[in-house]
Amino acid sequence: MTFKPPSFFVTTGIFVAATVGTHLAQTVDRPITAVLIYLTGVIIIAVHSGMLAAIMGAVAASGIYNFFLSEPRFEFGVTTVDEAIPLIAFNATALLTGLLVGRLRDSVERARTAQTESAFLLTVSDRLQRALQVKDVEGAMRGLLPSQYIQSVKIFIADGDYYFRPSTGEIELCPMEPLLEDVGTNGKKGAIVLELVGARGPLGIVKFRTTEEYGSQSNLTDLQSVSALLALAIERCLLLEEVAETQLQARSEALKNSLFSSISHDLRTPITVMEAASGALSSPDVDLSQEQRDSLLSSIIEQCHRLDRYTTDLLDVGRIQAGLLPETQTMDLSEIAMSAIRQIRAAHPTLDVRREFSADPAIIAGNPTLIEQAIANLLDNASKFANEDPVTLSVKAANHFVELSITDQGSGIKMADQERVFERFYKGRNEGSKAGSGLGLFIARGFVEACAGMLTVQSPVEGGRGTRFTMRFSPATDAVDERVEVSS
Amino acid sequence: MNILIVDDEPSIIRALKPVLTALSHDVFEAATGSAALQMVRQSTIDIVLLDLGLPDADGSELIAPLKDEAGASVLVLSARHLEADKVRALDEGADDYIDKPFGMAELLARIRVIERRRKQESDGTATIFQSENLRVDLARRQVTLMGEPINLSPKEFAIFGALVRNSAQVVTQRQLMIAGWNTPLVDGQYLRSYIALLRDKLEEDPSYPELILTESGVGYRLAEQMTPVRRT
Repeated sequence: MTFKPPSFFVTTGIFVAATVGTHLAQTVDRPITAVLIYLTGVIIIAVHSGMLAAIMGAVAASGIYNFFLSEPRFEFGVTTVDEAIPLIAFNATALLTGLLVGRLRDSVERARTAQTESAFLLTVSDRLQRALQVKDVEGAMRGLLPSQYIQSVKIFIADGDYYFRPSTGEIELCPMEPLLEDVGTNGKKGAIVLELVGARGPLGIVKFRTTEEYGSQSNLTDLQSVSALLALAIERCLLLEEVAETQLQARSEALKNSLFSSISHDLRTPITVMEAASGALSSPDVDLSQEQRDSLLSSIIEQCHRLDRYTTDLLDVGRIQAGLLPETQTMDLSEIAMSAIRQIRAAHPTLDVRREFSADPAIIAGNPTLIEQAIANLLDNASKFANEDPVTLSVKAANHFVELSITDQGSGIKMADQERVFERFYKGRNEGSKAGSGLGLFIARGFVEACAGMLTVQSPVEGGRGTRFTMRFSPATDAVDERVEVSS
Repeated sequence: MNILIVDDEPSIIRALKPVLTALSHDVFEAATGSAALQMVRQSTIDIVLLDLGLPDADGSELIAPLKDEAGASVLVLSARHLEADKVRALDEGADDYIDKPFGMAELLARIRVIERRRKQESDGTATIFQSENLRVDLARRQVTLMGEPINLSPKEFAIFGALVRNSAQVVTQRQLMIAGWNTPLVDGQYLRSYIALLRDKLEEDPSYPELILTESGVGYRLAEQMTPVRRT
């Protein structure tokens, strides 16, 4: 404890006042009052200035009392018990009071520090609550710094043989690396590395860079508290991620199950029909009319077509999922569209396709077979909703893109379902008996994307009705000049 | 006709054989490439139905020996997505292809086209071809559509001539480029432009071709079956 000038003067003032008071009491022959006044002075000094000043005051008071005020005057010496008692009282009181005051002060100081610390820890914990991903934890903490002797913080998560810093993605191959870096670079500043331990074991390490004031044991305890909070937050984030992953897995499991039952139904039905019909035809016990035989045969052929379409679809899906890259060549989208219309007319002879082709050639690079199939699938889809109305197929060639769109005048697709129509095995509710494999649009999008294009849907198109599918490509860059000399 | 079916799947041979036999063809069978080559050396085979995916050989490597040694016509049976294989087989000299699975009617139609062409070839090299609506004189470079003469530039005629000579059969882009430019190394764009010009002149609705059909990724096919006519 140091003497600050004002405190020193106050203390001296109290001491002088007490000495004067004692002297006055002594002169009017009130020895007890005199001693009590001196004692009071010593207590006040102790309370005001602490142990050291109190003891100095007590020693000075003993000396002055013994030399000037008590008999025999102007000489030291204790002859009677009466003379000794005040001296002992001064010193004992000074010592005890000083001790008590010191203790009180220390605990007040400690309480204040503890309050700051717990406020800091509370803020830390509050901030960390908001982090939902491991990579956000460090950032949440960083927002509070520098504070509480902490300059900066780096979190590394153990991942096999190396440490990984989620906030930046930086990787420490050597586990000791975070310990060595920064240490001793700047005199008093240092780095403290603590292990992050969660309920399920060690998670990684946290490195604090500390400020100059850092040093005592109690600060280390603070850092341990902070690292415990960090570990808690990280573990919570990890658990959240695990939960999300598990839910995703459960969903994909459910999806797989529904896919499987859809596939097995769509494959089995035609086989069942064919087996039953051919069994009836070959059975010697069944007597069939020619009409019945024809009908059974045509249902066998029809189911063959259905099975063929379905396996083709499944193989197309396989192609898309395997990510097989198609062979690419330049082609005119209008020409491919015409091919697709021919193909679809065989399946839907009554479908009325109106063509709006741009006069400019719509040259893109892609795989003609895939694009033709994508267009045919879109036309097939449109045929299910067109009823008697025409379907419009338009091809537009602009400077920066080539676009093909197919528009029907059906009842449209609800906004919420618009992206879902591209999902595998998605079947619209109103398709009824026209429902196909639920793969056509998935395949169309997959094929268009495999040719570096985009397939989007828009609904309603006009007057609250209609659906428009648009595929868009970049024009082929190596296209040569289209004008050809006819006379060549 | 003597038809050889080369396929390692016995059920396909079992399904085709009775139909072809009923149409009074003689049917031979081979499950492997080597068996097929042996078969054409032993017997006179007119048409080979060739599956490209054989266990012992790449089907398209068989085409040259089958055609050159045995003088057989080759109809390739192939999966839909394998355009590259189809194009290679056609460029190797296969006469036509058909996608698996195929309908019997379609297969028989393709066989009929090949049959007819083999007869034409044995008649000598015809220069005039005719169908219901179309008449093409290759020597005089004259094209008549529904009685109306059509003017074609020399290059248009060269390309159209290749389609006419192989009428009702697919002609690959490469074959058309060689016909038009004497080299297969022409930008596909040029070929497309000439096909568009031909369609403008010959199709009723050029934006909806019925005569010159596109076989996506493979080539073009003249839809009309042309018959050779002896010059009078």
